[in-house]
Formats: sequence, structure tokens, C-alpha cells
Amino acid sequence: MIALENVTKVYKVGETEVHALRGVSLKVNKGDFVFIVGPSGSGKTTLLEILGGLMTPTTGKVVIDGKEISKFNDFQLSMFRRDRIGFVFQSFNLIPTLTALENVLVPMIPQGITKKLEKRARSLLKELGLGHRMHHTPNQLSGGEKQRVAIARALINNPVIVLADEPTGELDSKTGDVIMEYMRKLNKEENISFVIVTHDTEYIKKSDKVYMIKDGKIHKVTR
Amino acid sequence: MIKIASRNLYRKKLRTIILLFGIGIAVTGFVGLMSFSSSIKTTFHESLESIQGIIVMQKGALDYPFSTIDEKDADKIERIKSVSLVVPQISGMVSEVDGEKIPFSLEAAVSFVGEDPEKAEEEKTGMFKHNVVLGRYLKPGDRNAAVIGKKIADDYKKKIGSRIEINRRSFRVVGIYSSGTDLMDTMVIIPLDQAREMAGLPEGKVNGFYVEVEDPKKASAIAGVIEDIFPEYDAASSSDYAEELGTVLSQIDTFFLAVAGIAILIGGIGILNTIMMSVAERRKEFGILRAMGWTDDNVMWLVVEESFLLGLSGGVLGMIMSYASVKAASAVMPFKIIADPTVFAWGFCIAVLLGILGGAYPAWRASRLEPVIAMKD
Repeated sequence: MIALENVTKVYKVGETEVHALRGVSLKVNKGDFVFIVGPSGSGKTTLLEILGGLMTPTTGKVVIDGKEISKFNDFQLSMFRRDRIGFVFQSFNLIPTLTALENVLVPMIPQGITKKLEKRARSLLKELGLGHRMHHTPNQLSGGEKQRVAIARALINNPVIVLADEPTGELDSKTGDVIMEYMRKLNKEENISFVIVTHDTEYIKKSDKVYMIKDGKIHKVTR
Repeated sequence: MIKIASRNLYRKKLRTIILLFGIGIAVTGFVGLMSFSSSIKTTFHESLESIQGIIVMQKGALDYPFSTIDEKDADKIERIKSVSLVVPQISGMVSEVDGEKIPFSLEAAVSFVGEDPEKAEEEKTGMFKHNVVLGRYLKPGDRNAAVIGKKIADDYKKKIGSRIEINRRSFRVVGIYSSGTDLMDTMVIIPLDQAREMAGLPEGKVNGFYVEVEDPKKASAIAGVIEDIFPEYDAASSSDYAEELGTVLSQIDTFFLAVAGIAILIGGIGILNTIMMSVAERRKEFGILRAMGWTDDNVMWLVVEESFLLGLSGGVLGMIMSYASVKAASAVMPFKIIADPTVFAWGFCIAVLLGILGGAYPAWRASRLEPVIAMKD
């Protein structure tokens, strides 16, 4: 249901061209829990951004749910992100002026917050163990709590896939484990697909779907 | 979305408050200057309208005190067709009332006007006689009698029958007139001979004539006839004055508009600068919103809403400040400053418009941000 076909991405930095991706092909099926690993500068984040419709590839095809998003314009990509994608970032990226509940609802603000959506946001926060923190602003929350708010925000639109860029990178290992556990649980119970960029080998050990990116090329890691 | 917008303004409270006062002051500047200018106009026009006849003075004299003419010419002017009455007048400044020196200011100024009681009897349109609200006007045989303006009556607590001392001469108040503007209600009308003594004019000389005509519409034409017959005199009807005054007032108006325009421009630059700054500080947030599926238009509207709110609140604050300053100015100024709802409405619209325009460019800039780049800020 998610397919990358021979995707390349070339950036121009001044006069020099940087080849972030050099022909990447990848398939993610519904319910997959995929890890992508690789050294910094290998193109992991670029891959995630292309998967999430934050940028378009230089060449190649990105097909999600039968739609070729690599041909979408800016507006179509916004709609696609809003309706299909959930993002989780390393540095949480919450809006500081808004409460946890409001942050979860942020993606839906332009189309209007319904009672139903608010109910969903509340139940997501409860599910992530934040029932008592709904009206706290990010600076009143711990790192782990912030990341759980971010996960709830990623799930508010019932995404087909959640893309997480180093979600445990700014957390201590215990909190990181908790976050990873929550994502596992959501994956298993609600059959939501996850693509997670990480460099933490502990998590990879437990997974059978691990890809390695190096110099803009991707390989499946087999054990 | 409006909630996020208002939270963003709340985030930097001090900055928002300073800006709101900036807009408020710009609006107050506009409303204040416009109210002032329209009030000046109204006051002068009201004052002029109360003069229905023609004023005759020595050629080139700016005002009565600088003009000396022969009283006997009054009879000659009276013989001109359509002229019904000529009232010789003498006027001057009053330096002391009831033994107290009058401070030199527009507000406190008092002047005297002398009129022949015999002629006064026949006046039909004379401004003072026309506006007598208490007692009576001068009548034949009056001596030591005075008709005073309402402001003097109020300031010095005079009633009909009170005695009032003008430049060390005592008069009995027989009437009080009120023209409706304080500026005009500061005169004391006394018999001509006594005024002549006070002004120090020789026998047979006066400062000018007040000429009544049968048809006020023809006043301007008759004034021309008087000037033809007496080239040594200036004759002007109220419409001639109004014309002259109109030119001066429109120049004042242009000046006020320019000043108000500058105030508004400064307010606009303030909004632009504030929103630009706040957009620059929140690049990352806009990037996040875009990543979450907000379109470029959504981001643009968020910023426009913020600046619209600024304009709206600044407008409300401006209305309050304007109203307070108009009231305050009205209390201090010698004439009433009118709080014209149209001017206030304009001031409010300008504030809102400032908000929208000041936010337009920053909003456009915010919407053009690349989400991936903005997020990495």
C-alpha cells in the first residue's frame, strides 16, 4: 500500500549537488512496523519527508493507497498530509501556546473542531496515559509526556501511516522504551503502520523489518 | 483559529500592549484632529450665520480697533436702496471687569461694543439683539446700561439688574444674550457715547457700521455698492467672510489631514513591524502546522487574523482614547468640540484596515515558508 519506486532526491547546496537518495525502492504494507537505520547524513530524514509528502522526489514514484503523491502540487500534498499522515518528531514540535488537548487537535483546526473530534482527542490522550494532563501546556510537561502528546496528535486524523523521526532521540532510555511500547501497542491493536527512523540498536533487535540506509541507498537488514 | 491567533498576541504581552497604544494614539490623532477641524468650521459658520448684515470699516483695517470712520456717513449709506438701517459701532478690549484685570487669553477675553440706543431700537437682524435671552436690548434714553454675553454672565455671576464695572465704569445689566458659542458670548454692549469715551475716539468718529439690508441674500451685492460709493471703506457681508474663512479653513483641514495621515502611517508601520517580528520568531511553528496538513492559505489566514485582532482591539482602544480626549479638549477649549460619530467610525475603520494591511505582507511571507526548512529552525 506504500511503495517507493526508484526514488532519487538531489539538493542544490550553492553550486554543488547533494545526492540524498540514489534510487530507493521500498514497500510498506498495512500494519507493518518498520525501522530505518543509518548514519547521520545518510538520507533517512529525506526518505521520511518524501514518504510524508513534505517534499517531492527529484525522480521516481511514490504511491500511497493507490495515489501517486510524487505528482501532487502543494495544496494536494497539504490535504494528503492532513488526511493520511501522522508525524512524530525527535523534538516533539508542539505549539507552546496551546494545551495538550489543543495540540492534539491542531491538525484539524482549519476544517473545524467538532465535538466528535474533541472526544477522540480526549480518548487518545487517555489511552496514552495523559488523562490528567490535557489542559497543561508543553512547558508543564516532561519529555516523555510531550512525545505522547505528539503521538496522539499524529493519530487524530486516523492516518494510514505514522512516520516517526528519532522519536526517542531526546528521551532517556526508560522513557524511550515507554514511547516505543505505546507505538508497538497502537500498531498491534489498531493495525496502524509505523515507519520509524532510529539509531537505537536495542529496538531494532526485536524487529524483523529493518532497513539500512547508507549513501542514499537502502538495503533490507537480514539476520 | 481565532483562538490560536489571540493566544499568539497574548504571548508577548508587552509588545502587544505597546502596539495597541500605538494604534490607539494614531486613531486618536486622526479622530482628534478631524473633530477639532470640523468643530472650528461649525463654530465659525454658526458665528457667521448670526451676522446677517454688512460690516463697514476703513479700507485695509483688519478689525474695528484699527478702523476709524465718520459717523455722519451712516446717513449717506442709509439712503442706498435696499439698506434699511445703519448702526454705527465702536468696540474695544475690556481690560478690567469689576476691578479685576482680565488675563490675556482667547478664553477669558472680553470686549465692549458701543451702539447708539436710538438706532438699536430699530435693529432687526443684529446678532446681539437677535439673541437676547433674558431682559431686553438697548433702548432710546439708555445710559449706563449694558447687555452682556451669557459667558460673561456665567463667569462673573451677573443677573438682570446686577451692576458690572467695565474698565472702571459702572453699568447696570439690562439684558443677556446667548449666540450658542462661547467665542461670541464674551461682549458687553453699551451706549455709543460711553463706548467712545472708553475707546478714546473723538466726537463724530466711530470704528465701523453695522448695515442691515432688506433682503439678506442681496447683502453681498449691496456691500459692493457701498464700496463703489465709498472707496475709502471696506464693506463685507457674512458670505464674503465665509468665503475668506473657507479658504483658510480648508488649508487648516489639509494640514490636519496630513498630520493625521502621518500618525496613521506610523501606526501601520508599527503593525507591520510587529507582525513581521512575530512571524520571524515563529517560522518553526508555521513549519509544524504545514507538516500537520495546514495549507499555505491556512497559515496566511492565521497571521491575517492576528493582525486583524490587533487592529480591532487597537480601534476599540482608540475609540475610548479619542472620546476621552475630545471631552477633555472640549472642556479646555473656548468652543465645544463635537464628537462626530462619522469621524469616530472612520477612525475605527482605519484601525481595522491598518491591522489587515499591516498583516498582509507578513502573512504572505509566512505562507511561502517551506515546511521542511522552516521546521528545522
